[in-house]
Amino acid sequence: MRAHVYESIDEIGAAQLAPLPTGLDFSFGLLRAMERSLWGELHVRYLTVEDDGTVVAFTPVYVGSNLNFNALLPKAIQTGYDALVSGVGSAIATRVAVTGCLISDRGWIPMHPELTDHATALQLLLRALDGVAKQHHAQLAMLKDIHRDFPAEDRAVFRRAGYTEGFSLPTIRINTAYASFEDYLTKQLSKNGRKHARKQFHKAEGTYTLRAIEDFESMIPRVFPLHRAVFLKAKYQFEELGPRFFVECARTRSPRTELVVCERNDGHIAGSLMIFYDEREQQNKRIGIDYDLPDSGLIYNLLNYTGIQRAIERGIQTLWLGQSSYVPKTRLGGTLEDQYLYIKAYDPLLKPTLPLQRWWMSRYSAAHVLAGVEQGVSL
Amino acid sequence: MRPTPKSRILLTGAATLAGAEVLRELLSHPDVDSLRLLLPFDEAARTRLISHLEAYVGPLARRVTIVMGDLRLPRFGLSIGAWDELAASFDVGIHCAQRETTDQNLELARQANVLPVENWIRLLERNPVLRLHHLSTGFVGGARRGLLTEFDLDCGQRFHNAYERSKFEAEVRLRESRVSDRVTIYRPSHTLGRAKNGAAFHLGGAYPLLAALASSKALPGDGRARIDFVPADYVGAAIASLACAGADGTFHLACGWHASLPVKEAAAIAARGRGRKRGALLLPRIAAWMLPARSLELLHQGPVFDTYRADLALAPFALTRPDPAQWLETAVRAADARSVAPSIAIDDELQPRSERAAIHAVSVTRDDPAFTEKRFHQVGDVNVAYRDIGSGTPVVFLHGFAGAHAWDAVVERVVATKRRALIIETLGISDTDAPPSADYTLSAQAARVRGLLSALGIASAHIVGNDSGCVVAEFFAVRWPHCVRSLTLSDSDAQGPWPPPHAARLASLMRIPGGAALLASLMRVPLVARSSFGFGRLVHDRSLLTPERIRRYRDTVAGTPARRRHLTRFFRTLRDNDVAMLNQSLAQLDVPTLIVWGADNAYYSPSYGRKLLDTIPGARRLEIIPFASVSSHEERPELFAAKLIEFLNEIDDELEAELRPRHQSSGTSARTSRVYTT
Repeated sequence: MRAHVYESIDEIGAAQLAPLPTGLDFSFGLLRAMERSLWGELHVRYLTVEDDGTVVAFTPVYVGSNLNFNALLPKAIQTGYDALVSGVGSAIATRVAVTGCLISDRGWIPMHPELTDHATALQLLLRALDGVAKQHHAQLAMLKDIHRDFPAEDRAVFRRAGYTEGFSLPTIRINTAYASFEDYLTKQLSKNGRKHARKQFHKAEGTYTLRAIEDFESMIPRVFPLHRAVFLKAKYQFEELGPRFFVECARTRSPRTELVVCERNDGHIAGSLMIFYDEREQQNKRIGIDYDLPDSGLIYNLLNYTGIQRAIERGIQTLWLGQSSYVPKTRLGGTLEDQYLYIKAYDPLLKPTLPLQRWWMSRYSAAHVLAGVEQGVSL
Repeated sequence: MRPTPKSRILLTGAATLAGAEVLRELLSHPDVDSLRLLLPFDEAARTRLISHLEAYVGPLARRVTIVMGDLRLPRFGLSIGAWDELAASFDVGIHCAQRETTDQNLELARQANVLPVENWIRLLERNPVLRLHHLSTGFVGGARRGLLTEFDLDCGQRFHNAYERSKFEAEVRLRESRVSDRVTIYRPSHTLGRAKNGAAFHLGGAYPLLAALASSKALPGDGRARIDFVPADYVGAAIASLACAGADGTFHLACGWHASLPVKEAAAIAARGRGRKRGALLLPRIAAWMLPARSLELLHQGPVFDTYRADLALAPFALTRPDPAQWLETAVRAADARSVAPSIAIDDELQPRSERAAIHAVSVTRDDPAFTEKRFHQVGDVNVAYRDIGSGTPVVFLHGFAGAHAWDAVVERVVATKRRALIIETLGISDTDAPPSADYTLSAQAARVRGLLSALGIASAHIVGNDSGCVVAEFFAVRWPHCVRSLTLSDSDAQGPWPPPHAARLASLMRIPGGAALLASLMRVPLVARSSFGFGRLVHDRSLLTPERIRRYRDTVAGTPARRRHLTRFFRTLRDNDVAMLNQSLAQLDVPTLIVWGADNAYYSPSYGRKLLDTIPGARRLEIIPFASVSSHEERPELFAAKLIEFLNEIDDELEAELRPRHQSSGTSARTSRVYTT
């Protein structure tokens, strides 16, 4: 087995990745959309481990100084870091190599189902990562959002390679293996949840209509401002995506995409939800809301319920709702699942901070977040 | 975009960097049916603008119709009937008029950038088929770090200057108005001249920033931050094409992230254009406290312009974004060539050979004893120092903190045009001597100038003043307008707060016993002398601050104990100057006046010059000296002298023409003075 580094996903090709369990998060179309809409001082490389020309392990790496790598750290650190970069210049900005899809809801390292020696493949991959990090003068490497379902013995390889393990934001999963939406309401939601959902649809009657659009490229100028508004309002502003990302997503067929649009009676678009899906799972990927309307909460719920409805109609078993807004999403029947972040410092000045980071990030464990959610506190 | 029939267009701001390019494009655009230009009511200003535009884009007479108006006034200053007529006379409005000065004067910026937009909204409400294409700026993104898309406006950003804020406010106003669906917005990034040859209608826009990059040895900036330059011809072509095609939305006219240059690389290219081997050394904010703050923010990380919509909309027109690395050097070279226009040589070419020979015969060079010989004359209790050079129509030069010798290069050229130069030294910052009881105020100094001129038998003269000397010139002109043939005011410091903040700080230092001596000692330290605290802000290009020049500056203000005493008294009486009254009186001054301003005046931006131009009824024009600070006469003497001589010739010709008929009819001798009505 040998590790390889590619500069474009097109150099690898969709066929090479097809045998790997890339899911939606590492799908060819999504990664290509990301690659084509990167901006600023951010580069992407694709690491593969190949055995006789067959890709057996694969992951993208994003390297740059404009990654919001400290978004999960205390506000004071974020402010201090920004002030430092502002005062001294970009030269002092921390260059980070982030492994994993930047906009994934959950992460793992896609490996060939027939690969048995995971440890060797992962070690080769991590060595290639070190090479890319060194080449781009990265001071920090991260393995982003490794989901709890990723085998524990494989995660141990990361720790042995010098990575510090900490909690990342939990992801939210909804079981959508129901015969109908009504079935979902009855079986998945509590009595209060059911009442809430029906009330939302009742409230929207006569005012808002929802429709799903598959070929939505022409809609982007109309809906992008809504998605942008949600990004600018968000507490954790991770990936800043331009309109080109949405265009590329509209064009991709792997995964399939669609846009759920919430329209007011007068034709005004009040909200939109971009959905990624394949045969097994669906992701409610990006939501856009017109915050100028008094019904922004209602629109948020309608879009999410419609997303769930679409998944059930297609017979999709699992829906991923992302890593934010835990209170409303648990009300939709979502469950929280742990994810881990692995950090390695190349810069000796950053190394001593890792235990502290690990301690700070313990607050992002699913149990801890759920405890907050029960008190109505969303992260 | 939808196909539109041939457009009837009204263009405002044709005399801006981008506006002139839009005009050029529209003149040859096949889809333009008729083209109207909105120009000022003032005939002189209008004629001047037309002649400048014709020199840049070719003859206008048969191709455009001129509409007179003032964008800042309700209904553009038109009657209700004319307003309605205007609203019905065109289908597409292209609003390029703007105040591009990047200073902190929010009031002026709003007047020029927001008020016209308010009036445009009313005009659009008048005619429901009218569309407006509004020239905004990419820097409505202010200090935002990160992506700025064409869909963004309010991202909670802060602003570096009044220009950015006022353009932002104008866009907000347009977006919130009822006519927002009929408004198209264009946001160019740092705009410079044409990509092919660097030609620019004027050196506004991003030229001050480019000049800083080209000429500075050290700058506050982030070498790895990106800077986005775009040529004016691309901006003009994009606006004209999209306007004629009826495009709607917002478009970023920028070179985009991938083509944008790291500041370090841009500085290197700009320096190369200036003939320098190395680009400016970029210092981080925390180490750049001693450098001028003007361009501090623009060379750091700012918004990254997303150009999705512009790329999409411009694709059918085959308009590609030129790569700044290919044309930036040309832009610097063209700007440099323009800023050192060989005016005297041109004048020479226009003059008959015999006259030229005569001028050369009487010219005095700086090596002649006549140039350096200092004379003294007692006016009251003050022994006024002055130099009297050449012969002909008298021109009085009054100086500020750069000292009397700062005028030498200009005087040399003026004397060569058969004129007599009197360089009168300002009490407090020169060799002019006085007892402690003397009046150091600037109005008293003006009275002494009058006294000296009387003693020399000069009834009237052209008065030229710079910096504090400019304030003396203003006092003189207000009190004795009949003694003034013309007035040239350069980089006055009386139009802002009084005393000027930097002078007030020095005045505080002077209140301390030994303050002047301390100042003199500090100015012996080269780093301090070259810093903003020292003489650094007198010039734009600090490479001009040679040790010899610094010594001259230092000696001028605090070289001897006597000079230090005078300096102390000068500063202590600063507050006694009745500048408010002076400014009121200027509003009634009908003397022909030329305003000259350093484009990069580190104390007062050219907007103050504009204010002066608007205030003085007799003011003819404002000439901006590019790549120059408050000592524009010393930094760009060729250009300054060219502008001055052109003006002096104009006035002398007018006076001659005015006197000739009288002379012929009455048979009296020609008067050397002119009485102006107030």
